[in-house]
Amino acid sequence: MRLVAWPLIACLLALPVVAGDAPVEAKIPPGYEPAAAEDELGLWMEVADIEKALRGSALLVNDADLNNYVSGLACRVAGDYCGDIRVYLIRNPGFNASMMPNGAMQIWTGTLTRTRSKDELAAVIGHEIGHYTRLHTLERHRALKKSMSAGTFLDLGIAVATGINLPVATMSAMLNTLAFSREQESEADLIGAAMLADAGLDPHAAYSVWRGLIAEEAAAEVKREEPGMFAKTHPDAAARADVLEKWVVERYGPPDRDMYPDHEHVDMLNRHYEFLMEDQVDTNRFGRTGEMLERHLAMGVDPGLVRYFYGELYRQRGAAGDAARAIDAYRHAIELGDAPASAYRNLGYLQLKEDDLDAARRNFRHYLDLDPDASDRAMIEYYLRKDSLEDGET
Amino acid sequence: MNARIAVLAVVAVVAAGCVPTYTLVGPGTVRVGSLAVDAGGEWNHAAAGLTNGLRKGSEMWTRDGPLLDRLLLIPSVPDGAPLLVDRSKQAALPVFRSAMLPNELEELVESTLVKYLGEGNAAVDTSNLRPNRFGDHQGVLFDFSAAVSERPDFRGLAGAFIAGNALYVVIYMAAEPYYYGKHLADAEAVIRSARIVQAG
Amino acid sequence: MYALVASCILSACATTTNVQQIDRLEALGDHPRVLLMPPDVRYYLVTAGGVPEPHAEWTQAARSNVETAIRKLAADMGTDLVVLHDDDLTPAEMRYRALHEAVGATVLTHHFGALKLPGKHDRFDWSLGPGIHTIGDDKDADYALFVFYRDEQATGGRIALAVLVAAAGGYASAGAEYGFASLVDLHSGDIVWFNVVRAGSGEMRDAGGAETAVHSLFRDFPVNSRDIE
Repeated sequence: MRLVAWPLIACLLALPVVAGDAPVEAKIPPGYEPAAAEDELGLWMEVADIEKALRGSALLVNDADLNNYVSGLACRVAGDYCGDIRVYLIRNPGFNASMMPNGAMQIWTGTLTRTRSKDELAAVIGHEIGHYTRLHTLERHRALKKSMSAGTFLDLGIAVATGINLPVATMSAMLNTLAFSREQESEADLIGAAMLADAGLDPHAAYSVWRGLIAEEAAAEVKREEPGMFAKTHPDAAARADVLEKWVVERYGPPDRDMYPDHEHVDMLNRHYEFLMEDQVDTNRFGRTGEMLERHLAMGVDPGLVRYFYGELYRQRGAAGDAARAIDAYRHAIELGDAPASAYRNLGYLQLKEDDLDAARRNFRHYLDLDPDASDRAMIEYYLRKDSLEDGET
Repeated sequence: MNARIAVLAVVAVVAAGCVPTYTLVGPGTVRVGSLAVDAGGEWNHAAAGLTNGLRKGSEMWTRDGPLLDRLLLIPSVPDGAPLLVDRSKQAALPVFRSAMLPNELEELVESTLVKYLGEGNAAVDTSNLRPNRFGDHQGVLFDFSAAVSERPDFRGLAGAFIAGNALYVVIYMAAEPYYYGKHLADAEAVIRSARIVQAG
Repeated sequence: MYALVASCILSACATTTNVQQIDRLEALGDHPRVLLMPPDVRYYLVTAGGVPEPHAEWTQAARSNVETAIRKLAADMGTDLVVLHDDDLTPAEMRYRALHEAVGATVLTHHFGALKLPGKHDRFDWSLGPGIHTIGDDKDADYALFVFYRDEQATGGRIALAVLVAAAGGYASAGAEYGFASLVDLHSGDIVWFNVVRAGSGEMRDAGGAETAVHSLFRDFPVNSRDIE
């Protein structure tokens, strides 16, 4: 690792992020490597280890199409910093994008489903790059390591000794639970927005993405669901979105086109919708999921797919009247033409519960026709063979 | 977070003067609440102090150590209850409903396993749902695989049935490579032998 | 906190620190070849608050010294050593490394530590499974060697605290070192040799100390079959 003396870094301070007058200046140039400051070296070493673990992670998404989309966008937003950023797409239905002090960026799959356009996704990425160029990530990492004890589960003799299953205490996951300061957040907001404009993307996405997340939190609150990662780390999100809107409008004028629908982004969602939304429904957090589905319909995501997931939501929520809602939703999805095979199967199960054996069997047969290699064939055939459902038996 | 809680839990146990232990169960029939299984051989049964997160009356057995293989035996889960105990009240654990059909039981176990392995650190996928008779009761079997951050992959087999409006679940999970296959035959025999016995 | 419980559980009732299944290395070919997996070595500084902080410089030095010392030891023993680095690992090697991490932790806790598994009846038969032969075939190696080491150095503040606590009748760790070296037969996947070391085994941060530590780690390491004849 090339060591650069600390005073030399300070001289490189005034490097603008964007052409023309920069809102806030980057503290590090493209191609930055850490100074000889002992703890900074230590932190880079740790994150280098975490990045190695990320590369081998079982949760890393390998799909080429998704990776091309996200990495391509990240590079576009990053501009001169493109070479410093490495993007890791992680299978996790929560909203998160975070950068480590060495330029490794994690983006969770739940971020893709919460952005309405590639501009909004780019806004999230740009915001994180803003933190990186201002060294907030380093400062936060320093604060973080004081507040937790580290490493793989081997370091925690406890987990080993007791067999208690801990979520592995990787710093990368923990990074999200420590908030940046108000000042740091607004710096990142401004840098992010400017980076969007510079990349030919819509700077208005910088505040509209936060508004979407705030709306999701509001829906969750109504259902008394726990605050998500975004709410925990951005307590003053609404006020910041206002400030950012004002700044963007002053600098770039009012939004002069409708950002939506963004076909490229919607097409990406359509191609991967089942993969992305299955994990979301499984979180059991139905207030949020409902809010997201509504938004997806408005965006123009394939309605057959969205209706199917409404079916999944109602079916799994199981509140009063939900069974009927789920049946309607599956039927609607099937009518629209693009419903996955499991729509027929799950509809069939609901009809079983309503004692509508004939309808259930029709749908079960249709399911097996559409998916002859279905792994639950044995279960479905069991129901096709039964003459009737005996009392008390499933 | 969870690390801290786990540490405190164990320090409390250690401070109480005894290190929790494993005891031998099997071979032969073993009662776990109103559930009975044929252990088929010896298993190491974890003392309650070692199984944070399991309901009272549930047990964890292992052959080579819980990081490598484990059997979870979860009897008598009543309507409206989750399969695990969530002390933090933040996990949003899914709950059992006595009218659940096979697909819902599969989903219940799948989402529960994600939380058990650490939400955000694990992805679980189920497959091969099939009917199975457990004593006098009709139930289901299915396979699953789990990807967990910074750990070996897990594969597993779950058996579940409803009796008297309560749920009974026996889950085998073990590390890949090697450990899943090593104990599968014995673990599957335990699962398939699960049945209700009357008290007394 | 962690050092406290870790060392309690590790040291309680442990009488042995070594498992020896084989006396010598064997190979189908002329010379047994040993694959050295990237050693998992970390140094921490424990502050008065009790939180271990990873120390980069010490860890880098230790990792580098350990590799040098192991290479030297292997050369002295006439053992062919192939050194793997993190960046070079194949997916299969990464999977087995993850598995070995779990197995190693299990051995520390349940074989050497206090949490015995009665069903094992004191047998040591932990293995990574015969599927690992693909790695042996790929790298033309007969054995894989894993090294794990943690060292928590207490600061003056921490040592003072430990003294105070001890005076009040309690126990607070003033630092902990523990590690193991494990040899896996790449044909069967069996762990054929496993050695645990504890405090005082050697200071890895300097080259001389690392050699001592490595000698300690590799005490009773099986010798080459050709040396026996």
